Amino acid sequence: MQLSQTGVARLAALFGEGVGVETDTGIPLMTFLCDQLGIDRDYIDQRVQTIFVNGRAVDRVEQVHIGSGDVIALSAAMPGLAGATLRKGGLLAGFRKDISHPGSAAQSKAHQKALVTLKLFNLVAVELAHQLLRKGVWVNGKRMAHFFQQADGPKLSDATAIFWNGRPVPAERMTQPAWPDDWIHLRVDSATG
Amino acid sequence: MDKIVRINMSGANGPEIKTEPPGAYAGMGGRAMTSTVVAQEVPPTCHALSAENKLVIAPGLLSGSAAAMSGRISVGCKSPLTGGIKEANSGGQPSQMLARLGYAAVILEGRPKDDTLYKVVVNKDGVTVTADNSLKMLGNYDLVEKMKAEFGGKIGCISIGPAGEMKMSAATVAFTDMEVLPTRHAGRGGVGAVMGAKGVKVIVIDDAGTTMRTPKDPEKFKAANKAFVAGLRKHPVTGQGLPAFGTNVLTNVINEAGAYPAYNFKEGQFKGAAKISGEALAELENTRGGEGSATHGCHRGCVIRCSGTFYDKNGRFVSKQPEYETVWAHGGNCGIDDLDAIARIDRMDDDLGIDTIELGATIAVAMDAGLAPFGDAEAAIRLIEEVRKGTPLGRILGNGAAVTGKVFGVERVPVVKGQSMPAYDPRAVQGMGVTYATSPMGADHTAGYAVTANILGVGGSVDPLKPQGQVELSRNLQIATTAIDATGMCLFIAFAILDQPDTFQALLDIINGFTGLDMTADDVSALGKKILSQERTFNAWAGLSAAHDRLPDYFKTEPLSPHNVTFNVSDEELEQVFNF
Repeated sequence: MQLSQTGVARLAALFGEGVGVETDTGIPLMTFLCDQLGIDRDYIDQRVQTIFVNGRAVDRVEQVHIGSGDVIALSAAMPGLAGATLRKGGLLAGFRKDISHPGSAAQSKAHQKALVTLKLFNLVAVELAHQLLRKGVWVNGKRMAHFFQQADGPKLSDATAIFWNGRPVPAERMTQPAWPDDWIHLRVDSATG
Repeated sequence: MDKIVRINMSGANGPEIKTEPPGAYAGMGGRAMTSTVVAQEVPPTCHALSAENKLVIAPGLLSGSAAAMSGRISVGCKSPLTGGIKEANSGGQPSQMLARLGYAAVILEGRPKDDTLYKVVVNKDGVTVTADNSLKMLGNYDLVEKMKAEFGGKIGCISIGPAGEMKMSAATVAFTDMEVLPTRHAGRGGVGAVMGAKGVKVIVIDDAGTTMRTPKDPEKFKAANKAFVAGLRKHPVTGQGLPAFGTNVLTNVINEAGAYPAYNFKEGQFKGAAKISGEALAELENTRGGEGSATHGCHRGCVIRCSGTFYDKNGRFVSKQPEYETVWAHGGNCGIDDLDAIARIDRMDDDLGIDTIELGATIAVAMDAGLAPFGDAEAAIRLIEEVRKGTPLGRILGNGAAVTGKVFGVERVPVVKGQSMPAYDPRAVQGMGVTYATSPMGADHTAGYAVTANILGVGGSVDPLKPQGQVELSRNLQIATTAIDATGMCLFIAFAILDQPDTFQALLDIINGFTGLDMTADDVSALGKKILSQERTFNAWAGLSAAHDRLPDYFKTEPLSPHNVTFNVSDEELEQVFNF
């Protein structure tokens, strides 16, 4: 799909509920984020202040390894006592010790292909969405259909070009029935990109 | 701020006005002023709606000056909701206006002999009090319009809606914003009911002819303020996250952590969270557009601008951007995932003059009781209309979650000292539970904010990854927060202070440059301790004991999904919080 810069930015909302990303199990979380997703290490260190793996707040990123079906969420620094509490290695980490990630060792059955869910919130979503959409993510087709049907949401008609399995398709043909209730691989580029 | 005005509503010939120097209260602002006056002058065992209680309205220490973020105002009294001392604070314009007029506090005392309703006018010529029964049962919006028609469009208003007149324990005191709309509220603890009991509907403030308060050391103050603003602007939370998404940016993150109380605190995640998140709200507001849509300040001098303006799909103003707590209370906690409905409810609450947190928690309890289905926004709106009409059901709901739970036989009632918990489940974030349990204010998310021991040097340095430490951290956070509440500074400055010691030093320099004092971090913590101690003493005399510093039992026994955690901080640990 090809969209304007603004249109791509509006797709950042897809990451709030999570998108599928292919990876290898057993690899360190940082390898997944930096080497596979292409996120700069400094960005992870500085901008990404809160990381969840399966809903548990991560303190020591280097001690976490990817497992099949993991849900990984990234956020910038958040306000409020609770926001500060959830920061990785933050001063208030003791406040939420019962939901802290204990760390996970590299698995013996490492390097099997798996799909994990990646969620991006707030400024992180805005800043990384384009880069990840350009690489491609997995999204349920019906969810995509619903996403484009929201009254105040982005519109498919804003796309300058749509290709389905490599073939150009007019936006008006992408009505709800056209979207399968299954994973689709979505790649998005900006019109100028 | 060189004077205090006392308005005795019990006067034999009507309200009596007495303006006096601050005396023993000189140099105090915000929560330091309200809590000291209440502790010194209100009998702790009095009925909160009686003539013996007092309502103290006090601008922060730095309000009315050029200090950025200094527009918070405190309201204090004995709380009809908790039975203990209460300080609730708010943004809006009146803090700056009262301070520029020189008032360190407005204290409402006594009680009128009949049900006459009064309006108070404060301007450079002094204070007048007039009976005006035409204001009866007006919503805050219509009331403010009427005041603008009478006094002009540049006023500020401090008012109560019908909930305050009906003396409901969840009633707020409203403060007008920069657009002279009653969107800012001292929300918690039923302070509006106490104002209603005093028979005062509105305090109109006109600061025409006044100037900004001047610092004792203008050069030091100016330099410190510049550094402080730069610190706020460069920090990712205060400079980027809050302006872009508002406080509701927390929804997705708290939900992901499994700490988002859904369906009356039965679950730790809400499947509709993304639809009502800050990201979704900002997207909606930006798409609909309009003046101040996704980024807006609540008072002049605010550089964070975490608020916004919510317009409907036709571009009509609905309300200010609903805060995270409001979106949670009327959204996820009630199973509702419709931002338009939540904004409409926010407007109804502001007009009625009722605490969005308390009423949202109450409706969730009512839903648990079977009065409405979870997720039914229209049913929630009908319940609020009951409150507005003052029907028997509405009176029950307007008195909060604890009363409603008792009347309808619901065991799961998330309150401490009668006040409902806000939007963080204490089973997942246990340190928050320590503060909910032990704060003199009842369950309150702002009682201990993110300024830590490590910054203020209180109680030694804390190892962030130590598994214990909730008690020490909660203690230190409550001390620091109490001190900030005295300055009139918005608590959101805490994030920049947390991460940037130079920004904390700039704050100290602002205070010192303004007052001519030489306060250190130790002095700030000593101030916090002093205020907390007198609040605790008041509560003890009012009959609140260690047994009230507890969470409801079900938090210890009902595991919270998805992490299946219970609150496991012992009673013995909770009793250590105020050992200082």
